[in-house]
Amino acid sequence: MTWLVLRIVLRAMLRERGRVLLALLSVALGVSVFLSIRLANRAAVASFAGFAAGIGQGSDLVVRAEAGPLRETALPALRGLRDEAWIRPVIEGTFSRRGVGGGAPEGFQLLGTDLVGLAGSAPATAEPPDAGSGSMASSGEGDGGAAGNFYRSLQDPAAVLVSTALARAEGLRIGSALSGFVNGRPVTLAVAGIAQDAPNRPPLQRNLLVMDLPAAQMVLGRPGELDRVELGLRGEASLPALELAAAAALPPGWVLEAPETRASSARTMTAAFRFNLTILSLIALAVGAYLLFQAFDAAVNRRRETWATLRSLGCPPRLLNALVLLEAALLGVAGSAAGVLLGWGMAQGAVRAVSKTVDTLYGASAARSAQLWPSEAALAFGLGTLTCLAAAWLPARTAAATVPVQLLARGSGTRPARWQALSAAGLLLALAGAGLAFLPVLPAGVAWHAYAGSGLVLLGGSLATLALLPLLGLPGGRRAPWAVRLALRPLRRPTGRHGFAAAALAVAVGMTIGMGVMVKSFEATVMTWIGTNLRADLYVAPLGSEGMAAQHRLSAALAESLAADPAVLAADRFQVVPLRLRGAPTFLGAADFNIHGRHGHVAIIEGGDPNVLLPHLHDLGLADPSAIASETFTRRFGVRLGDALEIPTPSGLRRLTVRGVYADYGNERGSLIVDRPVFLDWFHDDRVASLALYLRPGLDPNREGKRLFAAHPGLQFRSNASLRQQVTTIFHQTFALTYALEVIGLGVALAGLVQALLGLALARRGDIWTLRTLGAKEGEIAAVLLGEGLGVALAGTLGGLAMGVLLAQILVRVLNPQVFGWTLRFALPGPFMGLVLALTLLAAVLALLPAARWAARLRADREAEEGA
Amino acid sequence: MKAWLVLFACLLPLAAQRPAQSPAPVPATTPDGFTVARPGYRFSFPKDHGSHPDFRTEWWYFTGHLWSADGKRRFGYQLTFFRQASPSAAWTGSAAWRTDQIHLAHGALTDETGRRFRVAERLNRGGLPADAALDRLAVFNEAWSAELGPEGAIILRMKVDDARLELTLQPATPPVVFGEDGVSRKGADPTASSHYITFPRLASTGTLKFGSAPPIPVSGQSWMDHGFSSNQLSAGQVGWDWAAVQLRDGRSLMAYRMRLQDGGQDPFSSITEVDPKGRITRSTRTFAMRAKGQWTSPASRTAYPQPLEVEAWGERWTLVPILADQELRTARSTGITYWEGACRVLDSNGKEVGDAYLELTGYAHSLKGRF
Repeated sequence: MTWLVLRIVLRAMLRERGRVLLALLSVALGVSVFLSIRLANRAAVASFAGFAAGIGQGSDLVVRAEAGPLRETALPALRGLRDEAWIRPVIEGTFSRRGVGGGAPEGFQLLGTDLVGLAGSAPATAEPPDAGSGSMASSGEGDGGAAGNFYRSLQDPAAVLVSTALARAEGLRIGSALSGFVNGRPVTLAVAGIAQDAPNRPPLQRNLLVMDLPAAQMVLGRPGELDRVELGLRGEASLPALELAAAAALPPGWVLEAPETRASSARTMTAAFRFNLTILSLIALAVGAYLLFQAFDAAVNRRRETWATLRSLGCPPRLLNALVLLEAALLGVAGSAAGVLLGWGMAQGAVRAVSKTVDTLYGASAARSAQLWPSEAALAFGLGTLTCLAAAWLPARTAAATVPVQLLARGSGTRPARWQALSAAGLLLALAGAGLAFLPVLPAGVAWHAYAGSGLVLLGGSLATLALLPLLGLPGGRRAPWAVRLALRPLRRPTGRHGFAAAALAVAVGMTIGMGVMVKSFEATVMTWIGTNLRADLYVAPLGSEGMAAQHRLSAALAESLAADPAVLAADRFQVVPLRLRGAPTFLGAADFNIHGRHGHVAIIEGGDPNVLLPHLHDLGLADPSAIASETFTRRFGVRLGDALEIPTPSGLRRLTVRGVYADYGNERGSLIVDRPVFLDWFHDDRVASLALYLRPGLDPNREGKRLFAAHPGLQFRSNASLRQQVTTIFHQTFALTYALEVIGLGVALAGLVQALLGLALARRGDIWTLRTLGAKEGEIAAVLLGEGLGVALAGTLGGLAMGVLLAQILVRVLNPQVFGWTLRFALPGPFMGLVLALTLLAAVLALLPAARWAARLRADREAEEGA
Repeated sequence: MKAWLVLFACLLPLAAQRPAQSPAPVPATTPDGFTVARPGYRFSFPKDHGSHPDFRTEWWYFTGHLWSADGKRRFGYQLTFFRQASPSAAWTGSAAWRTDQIHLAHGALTDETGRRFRVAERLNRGGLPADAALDRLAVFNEAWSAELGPEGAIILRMKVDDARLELTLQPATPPVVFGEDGVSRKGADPTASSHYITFPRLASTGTLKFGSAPPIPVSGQSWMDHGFSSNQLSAGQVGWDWAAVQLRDGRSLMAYRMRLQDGGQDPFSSITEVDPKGRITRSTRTFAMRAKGQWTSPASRTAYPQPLEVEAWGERWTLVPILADQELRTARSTGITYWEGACRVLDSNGKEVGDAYLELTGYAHSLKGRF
């Protein structure tokens, strides 16, 4: 047995280094892409939860206000819970720094909590509290007694606790200054402590700044306010009992949520995004599986004399089967191991892309590096090895089940595929997939049918592609020149090898076209939307603000002074607060309807002309409070035009009527917008998240922006054009990873194409030798082989194109509305699709050319070495 | 007495840097601006049961001996609230989250029958998490509280681990003011003094509930101390032994012995006797506290003198702990390890003549420089 293994498996692997390397590369690439995406996702999502966990114990329950902030004066209502739970009040905000050398501003999460209470509720240790409770008092390195330090840190309203990572990166020490802006105001914080990493808690995020609660409230300009109160079980207390007691004790307008909700709502938010990525990464593995199958098929085929000899010598078929599977296992293990390492490395790059996207979409990720999760590594490793074994399964059975006489028959290695049956089945599968995706009417948020349908379309479409091969072989008829005939004739009776190469390429091209068309449709829709919505000359926001989730606010006085600037004709103040409606998070915005109606524009889908509707809603005022709802909001909450809603506000429940529906691609949680006077009356919050300035005619927005910036260095002034540019940039950043994955998928498919061509050439060694004997030049032979390969590439590309358009339909018309609530306009980008086709074929030529030239030089005597 | 824990914990480093004062007239304030406990202080109740934030340190200290209704189960409890102020600062936080007042609390429950000692501690800032009223006894730290009700009874609430104690304490006497002319001296430094009020006899009734078991009605006798001070320190002190003794004949004794680095007893140590009506009958600095045995804590490896014999005015009492292990290791608040527990009091004939709470500090480590 050992002899057999060495001889049949290992020696063959050593001799066919090229094939083995290609197979290893396929496995490693597939595994690494899959793993890197999973790791990057985990890192990005973990960073949500990591923020709070980094400064103390994880909490068991979280208390929030249904709308607006929590008022700390109501906190004594929770005092009765304190035997069962520790309580951690939290306020959050953002501290921003101007980027180095005019680069993008750097944002820090500024978290304020009761540091004394935090020290008091730290887990008991054998050491006195100065051994690492995580408070500022505990981490001081300065001189003097600890008690003195304790008070010095606590009594400095600028004192801030920074992460070890930030301190290391910037050489910060106790007493170092950290200058930046909070809500557009210049602020200088003083480093009072550096959080020491401890084994029992995750390290503090690099861009998290922790302050004592009253100091944070002062810096953020929010005295008396909290964003949430975290509760943690003490000792033997039980969570259900605490939940009951907390629910009974909560003041009106306060709601209880599991601590997971924050992380899990982030998880839900990003679920679709992450699912897309996982599916994409699986595609790489799926394309890889096609290739592996092909590789094993070729390897088994090439050694058919060996199998025949072994069978003749009385070797049981079971052993032959085992030998092929052993080779697959070896390749699988080695390839997967390499893939895990490669994937871990790739994850470091991917995490930045994922973080950037999560940041852009949800404003709350801080992951900068991805850790190697053993469970994920094991999953990827297992998946890679299993894929390899699965791909070798059929070839192994073929090797074991075929009788020696058949194996020895010349030319039996290239059996024609049953393309008619396969492509017909494929077509049916693809149609079934499309039916599954389009036909059922399911509630919003449910999209399994779209995913399953897409999967069927991919599988079926790739099989249906086989039918293209005989079609493309048609020009190789009797009247064609001999070289064309020789190149295309094999396509008329395609073998499994032709079929696999074409199908794999079709999957990769199909995914690229499908995602590409979806992204382009998205882009076209968003750009049109921005074009109609962005009408103001200058957009003003505190430094570092991006997206709905940003926590920066301008004071009413600052907004007023900007509005009163002589250059400004009108100013639209926009404010937004998070809101919990029927237990689900959403947003309530406030805009100056009168100004917006007269100067601006909003893409109203239902409710009439915005320039009439908005001033009308303004006139209705508090007598009949009205709102416009985003399309996403109406889908999420099942709201229709004319519906009345009860909105929780700090002043109690307030009733409003939805009188317009507008398109909004900015957030998937949906939002309601009310007129500013209504908001002020309900929320007593006159701050402003952003300001749209309409300048007097004839003024240059860029020049005015620069002038205003000189007076307010903590604010960002963006002209209409630069804001559009920024939106476009963010848009492309969001899909950067998608593009990268597509390129990898195409790369793997092209590698498969090369492998297929080499296999085909080896199978046609006899033909090649004959041609050369007949006087054909090497170049002519190479052209024949290249033609055959290109025929396969063209079949795959065309099949992929058709499949991609069908896939895009599912993505645009089913998946996006179901998952995000976004109606996109289907746009078929001709130039983009042409580019993908051209690039794929060009890449195919470049990849096939050297292979064809190598194959053209194949010598007939190599045949004699086979099976030696 | 408990205040010393806080003082040692938080302020010893500051005090140690200051040279000893000469026996001059007592200054009105400490160098950092706190009011000094001076002779002639006129107490006014219920206001003086409340907080005195112009003094650096304040404590409200409750201990007691409780029995179940059938007399079969015996418990001891301790609930101490401390307040500690920082020197004046430009930024003192907000009223809800003060940066100049820290509140600590220690709670302990000794279950003699169950052979279990439960301890918990709290550390919070003044404001919403913990506070003390200025005009009456109403102090809380998280959910632990002590409050003087309208009927003149004090309501105590605390939960230690799974044990929840709710007690109503009815004073049997008016408050007793220790010391001379309203001031209790603790050292040679004339500013090393405190205002010290005690209820030596508080008839106690209430309930004790373990986990989800039905509440156990309990009754017994409690002791309360309330003190406020801005400096009580003397150089060379390493710890103290303190006892609150309630004798069956109606007399109450309060004894404290300051132990010096050289093993001696500070001359400012004293023992005071209070009669059943709450009048101080005698007080002396000539008394002895002697170890009659030793118990070593398995957790901290500290040896404590147990039982402890007290001798004064020709009488001898032996304080025998109802449970050997009543050691508090307070890593989350003061960081100090000490022994404080319920004891039986035996006379020279070995006859049980009362109950006591005993506090032994400075055995695990010198209190100097802790925290």
